[in-house]
Amino acid sequence: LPSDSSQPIRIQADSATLDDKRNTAVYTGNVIITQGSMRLTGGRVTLSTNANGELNTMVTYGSPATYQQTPEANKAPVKARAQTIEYHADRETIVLIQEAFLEQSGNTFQGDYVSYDIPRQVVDAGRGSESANGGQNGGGGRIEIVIQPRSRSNDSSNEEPATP
Amino acid sequence: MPRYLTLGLLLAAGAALALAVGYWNISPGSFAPATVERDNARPDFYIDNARIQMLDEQGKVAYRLTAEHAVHQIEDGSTRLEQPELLFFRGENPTPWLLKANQGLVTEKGDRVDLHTDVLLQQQPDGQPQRQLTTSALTLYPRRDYAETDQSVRIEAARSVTTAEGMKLFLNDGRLQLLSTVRGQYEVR
Repeated sequence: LPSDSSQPIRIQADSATLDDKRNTAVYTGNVIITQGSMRLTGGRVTLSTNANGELNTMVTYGSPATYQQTPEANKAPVKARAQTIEYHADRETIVLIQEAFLEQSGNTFQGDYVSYDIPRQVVDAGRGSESANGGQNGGGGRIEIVIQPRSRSNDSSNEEPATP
Repeated sequence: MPRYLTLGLLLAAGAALALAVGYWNISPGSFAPATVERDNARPDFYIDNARIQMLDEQGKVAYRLTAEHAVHQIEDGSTRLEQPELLFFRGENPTPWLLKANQGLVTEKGDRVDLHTDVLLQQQPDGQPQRQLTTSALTLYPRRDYAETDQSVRIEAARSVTTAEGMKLFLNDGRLQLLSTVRGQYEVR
């Protein structure tokens, strides 16, 4: 929800290490992080803040780490999973790295690198040009996108568009 | 009285006396008052408004301990503290950390301090807003710059509140390990 980003972030974990010198907190052991409708889970989460304690990034590692958030009221939640999920608070984007999979209102995006802009609900799959590291990294960052066709209602009586 | 009667009486009295001595263990010592059972905690001195300063190798103040009332015990050399307050100076960091509690017990010649009831640690992490940590008991090892507890802990920082069960605190680099059931809340705005 648009209001998510101003909600408090709640964290549950088995153990944690808070390190002031590096402004980081590492939570380990079935970690669950919620902020409004956003929900992140993973085996280990590194949360880093700036000098006066404001959130910078939350990097979730898991096999897989999962993400779920409802973009707008009564809209299907966006679901994603990957080996690593980075949440960048300033840009309000999440970056899915390795075995990334994201589902948004029926469409799915898969690849090694998928990023998702939460407020604009824009999915950007595949290696961005700025981090192009050529073909060495195995599949060269191939992506697979499945867009659901608009389901045509069989009888012409109900004309309202079928929601997926 | 016939001779044999007095002799018999004497013998009987002697036997009775011997029996009594054996039976009731009447001995000269048993007539002395029983010595009072000594209480092993024998304070040899106590101090009011105590102020103890420990220096580190370079002679700088490592920590300064103040207490309203301190009682030193002869037997184990421990010191019991009332309302102890410990200022912990950490090398280059100018602002010391304050650690205080209702009760304290200093043992192992000052290398171990057990604090309990309303333990509070006010930390000033470098360049960060103050952080406050409260628990019901904490064991501090000043020489090792280390403290630990198995009690529940509550940590309040500028924008976050964290609770957990059990904690290990490394005072030199401000690292803090929370051992189980960690719950955190970060205020974003």
